[in-house]
Amino acid sequence: MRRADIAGTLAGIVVAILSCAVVAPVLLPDVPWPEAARDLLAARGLGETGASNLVSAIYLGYRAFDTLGETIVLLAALAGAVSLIGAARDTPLHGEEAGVAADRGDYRGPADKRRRLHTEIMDSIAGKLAPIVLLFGAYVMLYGHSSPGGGFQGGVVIASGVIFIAIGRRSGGIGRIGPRLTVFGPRALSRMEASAFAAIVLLSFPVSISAFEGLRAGASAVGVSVPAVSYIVALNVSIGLKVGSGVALMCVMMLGGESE
Amino acid sequence: MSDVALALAPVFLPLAGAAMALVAKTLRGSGPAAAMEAAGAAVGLVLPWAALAVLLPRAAGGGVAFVVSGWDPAIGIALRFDGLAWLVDALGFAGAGAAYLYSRGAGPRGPLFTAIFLIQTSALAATASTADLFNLFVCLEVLGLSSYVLVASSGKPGAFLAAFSYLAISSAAMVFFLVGLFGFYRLTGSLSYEGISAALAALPDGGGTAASLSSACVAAAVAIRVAVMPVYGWLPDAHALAPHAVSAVLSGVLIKTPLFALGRLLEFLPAGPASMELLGAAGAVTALAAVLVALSQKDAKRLLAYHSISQIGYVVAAWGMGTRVGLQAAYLHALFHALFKGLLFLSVGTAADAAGGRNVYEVRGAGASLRRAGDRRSITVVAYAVGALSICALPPFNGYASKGFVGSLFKGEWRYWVLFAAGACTIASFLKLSMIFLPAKEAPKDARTAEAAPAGAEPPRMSVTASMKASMILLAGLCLATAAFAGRIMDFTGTMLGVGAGAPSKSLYAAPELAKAGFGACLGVALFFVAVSKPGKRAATLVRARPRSFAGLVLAFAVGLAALGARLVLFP
Amino acid sequence: MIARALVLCMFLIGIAGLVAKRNLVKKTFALAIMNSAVVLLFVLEGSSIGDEAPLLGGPGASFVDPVPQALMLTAIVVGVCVSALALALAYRLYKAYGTLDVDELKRLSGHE
Repeated sequence: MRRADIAGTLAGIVVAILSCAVVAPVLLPDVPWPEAARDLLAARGLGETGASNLVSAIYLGYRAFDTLGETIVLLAALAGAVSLIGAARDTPLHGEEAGVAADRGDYRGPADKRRRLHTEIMDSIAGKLAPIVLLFGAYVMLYGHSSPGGGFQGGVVIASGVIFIAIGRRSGGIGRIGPRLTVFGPRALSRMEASAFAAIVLLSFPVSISAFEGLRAGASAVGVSVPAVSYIVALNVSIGLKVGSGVALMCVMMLGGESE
Repeated sequence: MSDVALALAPVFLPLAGAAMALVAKTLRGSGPAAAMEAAGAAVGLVLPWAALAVLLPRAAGGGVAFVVSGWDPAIGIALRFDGLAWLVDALGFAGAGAAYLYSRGAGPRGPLFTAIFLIQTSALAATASTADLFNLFVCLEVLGLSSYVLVASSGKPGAFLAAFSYLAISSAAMVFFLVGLFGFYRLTGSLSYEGISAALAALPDGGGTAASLSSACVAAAVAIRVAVMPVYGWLPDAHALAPHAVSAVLSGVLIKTPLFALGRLLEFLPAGPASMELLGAAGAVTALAAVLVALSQKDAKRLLAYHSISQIGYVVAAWGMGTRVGLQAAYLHALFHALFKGLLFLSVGTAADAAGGRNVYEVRGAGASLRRAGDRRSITVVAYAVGALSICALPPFNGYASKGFVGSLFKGEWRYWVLFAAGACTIASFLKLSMIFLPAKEAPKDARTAEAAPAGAEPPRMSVTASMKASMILLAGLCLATAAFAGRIMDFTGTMLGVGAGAPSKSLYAAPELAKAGFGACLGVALFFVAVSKPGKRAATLVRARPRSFAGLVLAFAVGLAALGARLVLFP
Repeated sequence: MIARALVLCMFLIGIAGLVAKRNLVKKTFALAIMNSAVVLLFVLEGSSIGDEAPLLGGPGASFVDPVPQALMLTAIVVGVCVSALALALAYRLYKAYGTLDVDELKRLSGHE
């Protein structure tokens, strides 16, 4: 072992001991878990938010402001990662001059790697599975208020569907409608991400100042009944589209997908 | 518009601007896209001022406390838009607006940068008014994530490493924050500050060891963001290597907002006063220790970054008193520091870019380089001079008022003399930094550059554009205005924070105070000559060569956390 | 108690790894381990007061506490974001310097 390794290990042990001294007394004692919040939610959650999945009632109802923040964290991180990865494509690997790598013939960047990993089995199955995965994602997203699931979970499933499409597109799968027209290309994905994010911001503001309640009251005054849950469904859908397009965009970039 | 809608406007307007910038990114055609992006920036950075202006009477009169969407406070998210939130928002939007203006000229440009920048601004406003522990976690994460991306946006490999260290240490700290949150939730079943405080008071021993250590976890995690010693190690690299506009926001605004948010929480905790006292003492030590390191730096922006740590030490020291007057002094220095440090980062960054180097021992004649780069009226140099005189706390600049105010709180204590020494060192290190504006030393060297320039080998490295100048003029104007109206601003912050009159605006200009300032300045000049002498330079090399590693950073955090925990448990 | 002690061990392994491992990717994993430990802790403790999923209309009446689950949904997303960004940064650093060793990187990037 090198001296630096030993020093690192020692530092790790010291840090672990110090953290343990602080964290263990918080974690270890037996303290009964508080039940008040659970009982309150069980009694009033469905009536107030319309969601029978109480986790959805919290993260899209009572604490939707936190979820807005969470969506923003995701947006910032994905946008940062996409721009870091995207910019890296133009920079040569350490120690190689730009252009030299292509002549040597052993590494030609992500596009070359993609061709080598390319098999017919992968392409044909991925392209055909994609619609089913997308449908399942839409279900998870749409029924998040009443069953396990929601926008984040559904969005990630949708993203995997889009990745299947991106893989299937290479052999002329469903992703390619015409020679130039592709669905779920990077530009379409980033457009979808931007509009879904705008929708989330637009939806969150009125509800944060409880204008949604006023809207419902106004609607019922003119004889239209807006169910309470419609807000949660709308938020689930926009979060699902935002997460789905954002994660898919990042993965398509990581696959070395075409940039526009 | 209702008060609640107005109180949320500083959070939602920048978000709407960010959404517009993102939409702009996907538009075809550069004309509409640029227009959309500019509109987004205006919505996010200018419109909030209107909301703040309308909110001023409400904020001064006690503020608006509400639960988002009007839910039951037992489960919803409590926010509190009071005088403190108003003041912190004003600081944030001033710093962010000026820095964004600069970035329009100097870069980074583009809708993505605008969007992330606006998201960060929105998170600043949200952090300032939150009164819910988990919401504070979310706000700090948004602040963190957006600032890692912004640091990395300079595209320099060194900045990637700085962003990674910053990310790793503050994410690790946020896990400790969650452990603290777990401790509080398990004891109290509540996440709002008021709920936690009420439930802890109802417990027989006030929560005992678990509550104290949970407080330590939360406070230490936030202290990382504030970069008070010993957990400052991520800051110099991140602030030195970020783009200049981002450095200005990070140093001016981003390290202060979490401090005021933490103060809001600690008010409600039994362990609050003791935590603040310890952090305040650490702040006073930081003020002196960081400036000594700053004095030894050779990279201009790194020198400024260490000064940020030192100045935040003043802020934390005053904040740590735990009184409203202490808070007022802390805010005042935070505000003035945001203005002059933003100005310094922008002007020194511009000068370094124009001169093509950042080594304060080597770069000379930055003024001439700036003129070649298109800054014919020497706006950058004047801006630098205003910033440097302000941070050096020479009367009548604004730093004199705020540092004098902070100092007056500690009359007759060890802290007073620590801060006094820090002030002298500040003067010394800014004399050292100012050397980059000295005319180039030797005539032949000058001739060589003069020959090289017409040959076309070295075109001007950059050009000082109108928006860069406008941004520096804006900040310099604000520095001078706050200096001229320092007394009024003290009274105003006093009203907003519920202190009342009592700030020493008049007594600061009494003869003994002025004499002390003069003595400090002489001391500073003497120190400067020591620092640039041979032994001084050798010492500086030693300080720069001290081992600094990522492992050391985490170790420092663990030690700080354990010290805070021990203080809270053993001497309750 | 045993479960919490195991979670504590997991947390400590994470923080020790963050310090001791010099590879940036391993550091990122160490962060993810710490984060997962806390997520486990919340969900585990929150489920100590019931044994049904918090879906209304089910057979039983004793739900687990839904609050920690909702909070941890946020914490998981944040953790994923941190990992994604950290890995993207590590990728760029590897491309620039050809190494992932944090000490080497520090030396190569010329930080003082």
